Amino acid sequence: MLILSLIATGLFAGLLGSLLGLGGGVIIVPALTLIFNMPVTEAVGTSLTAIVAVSTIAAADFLKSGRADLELGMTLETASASGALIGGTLAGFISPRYVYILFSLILFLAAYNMARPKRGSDIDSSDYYPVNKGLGLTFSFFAGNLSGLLGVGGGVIKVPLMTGIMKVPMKIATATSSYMIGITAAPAAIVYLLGGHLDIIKTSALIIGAFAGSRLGAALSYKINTLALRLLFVALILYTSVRMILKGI
Amino acid sequence: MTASDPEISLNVSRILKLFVYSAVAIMLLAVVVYPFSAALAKSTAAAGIAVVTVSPLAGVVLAGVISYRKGNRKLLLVSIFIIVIFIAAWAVSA
Repeated sequence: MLILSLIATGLFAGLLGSLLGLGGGVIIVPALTLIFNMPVTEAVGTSLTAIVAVSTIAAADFLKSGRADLELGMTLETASASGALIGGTLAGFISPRYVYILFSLILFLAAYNMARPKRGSDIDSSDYYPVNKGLGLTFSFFAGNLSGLLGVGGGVIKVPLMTGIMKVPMKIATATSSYMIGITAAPAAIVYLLGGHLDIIKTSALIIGAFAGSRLGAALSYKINTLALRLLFVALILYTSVRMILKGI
Repeated sequence: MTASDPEISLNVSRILKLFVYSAVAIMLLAVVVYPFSAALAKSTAAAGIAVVTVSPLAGVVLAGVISYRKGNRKLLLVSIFIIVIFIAAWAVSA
């Protein structure tokens, strides 16, 4: 029964994540801690492993269609993956209550990003040159750090970083972020996996659901108007972030 | 600048799909086997998770090798750096 519930949770997270352009961590970690009462360290590790699968398969589609900038993504990943490795290692030494509070802040940021109107027409996304690479690498490091510590993909930081600071077109930034998220999450997932923080059967069940959900979401994304879903999700995220804060204090 | 060399992107896309689809198939097998043999299911699931976690690395290695063959040494260096991070992750946890 637990396995089926985890598959269903993964399916929901993968579907919603794919429809709304999220990695899924902002759904998986609260679900595992608040519904399944999983310790936060195990929830973060499980989430990271699921994120690797979901974002890698999404990245494969973006690379095939030519939307993801492989060179930019790999360059920023040198900083982001280093940050994730450090974040994953530090997670074992940080009190879970701080993890809950930090996570709720990330949820607020995700809600803000989702609710605000998108700027820029993104007409010409074929000719651009990323600027401020040093700043981009620095922020990527911190995004990776949070990813390893909290079990999220870090897209809520990476996309605004690429569009706002590095002047990369939105379409390219979201696709490149998706490619980066898998590489960021993988070293941290290895740390959690080899550190014995994961129940591999539960993790497998969640990944199967998340994978199926993300494929379903990709197929449905052209047919569904996501505006209402987006607003509903903002409300859900805000509610979840308050519950995470309450669990942390 | 445009979004990457199409040949490299296509090949990386293929290898990522190969790894993730294989890993999910292995994990599906593990979950099906679990009610009958927990030990077998756990070792199968571990193999699946291992394949998932190295899948991004496979893409990075392939991108590095192809771009080196095309004369782009920078991307090769970047991919070597990322490989080192993965090795460090393994070393830190072992």
